[in-house]
Amino acid sequence: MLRIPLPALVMVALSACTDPEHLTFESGPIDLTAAGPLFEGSNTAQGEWNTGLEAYLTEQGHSIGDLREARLTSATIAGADSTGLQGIRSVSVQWMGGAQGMQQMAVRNPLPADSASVRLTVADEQPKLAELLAQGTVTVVADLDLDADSDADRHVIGSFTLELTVAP
Amino acid sequence: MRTTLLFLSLLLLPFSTVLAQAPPEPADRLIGVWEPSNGKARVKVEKIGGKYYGKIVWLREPNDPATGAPKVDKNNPDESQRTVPLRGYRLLKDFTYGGNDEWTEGTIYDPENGSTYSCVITMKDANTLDIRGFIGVKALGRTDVWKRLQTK
Repeated sequence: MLRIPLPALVMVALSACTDPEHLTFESGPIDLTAAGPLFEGSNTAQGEWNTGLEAYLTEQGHSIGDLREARLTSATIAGADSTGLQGIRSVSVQWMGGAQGMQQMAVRNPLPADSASVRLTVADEQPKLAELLAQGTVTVVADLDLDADSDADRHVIGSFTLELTVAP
Repeated sequence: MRTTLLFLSLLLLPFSTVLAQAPPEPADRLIGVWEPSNGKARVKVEKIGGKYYGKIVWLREPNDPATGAPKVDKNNPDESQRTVPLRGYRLLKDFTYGGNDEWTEGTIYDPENGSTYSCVITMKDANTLDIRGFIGVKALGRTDVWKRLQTK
């Protein structure tokens, strides 16, 4: 009978249980558009975010199947032109995609006057975010509370940072 | 050649007119502004990513009597999101059209207690909706009647 020393067994067991790795993933700028005419009050801006997460994980030596958990850690909304965020009283951001329902991700209410860019308060509760991101495309919805009517479209830029937990 | 083109365009004219006047697809009949039976709010249903969502666009009492400031989602179970404005809040989420004048698979949120319920929407006629919220079993729920604001 083959006798394997106990320390060798422990070494094998430990190498099989690799610690999860934490990665920081940036969305890059996402154009969010509210199509005019727009009215005083809440208007829906939206954009598609092709996450590129699969390619990013491959670069990091992982596959999409290694994604265990995802958490939004930072959300920023900026004006797309020189007007900045002028005329926007508050911003609330939701994500959705595929079979995953819409979920609240971040809010800033009120916005500081005449801001060019603001950081939002990120939601504590972020259920099933890894499943949503694994689909590759996320619809980003931003509710812009405007202080006046406008005929033109309104563009803002969303930027997001996530912490990913991956393990083979 | 010119005569042929003119003849063809005249021939196709009735068809293009029919296409331009085609009624919206059955699922999109939900799009519009609706008022719940209590008249406290008006909810605009819109289509995002192929699903239907309803957001509050008008409140009878837009300001919180305690603070005088515009109402926010103060009962949200996630404390970090309690500053989301109530005007603009999506009460109805993730509905898909299941046929037979029913929109299913969605949820309805009650900002007065911060609870989210499963929900089925049934269109009784072009200007009337039955909104049934329930937990678990559809039979054990409550139905509210919503009316379209701009009647067709």
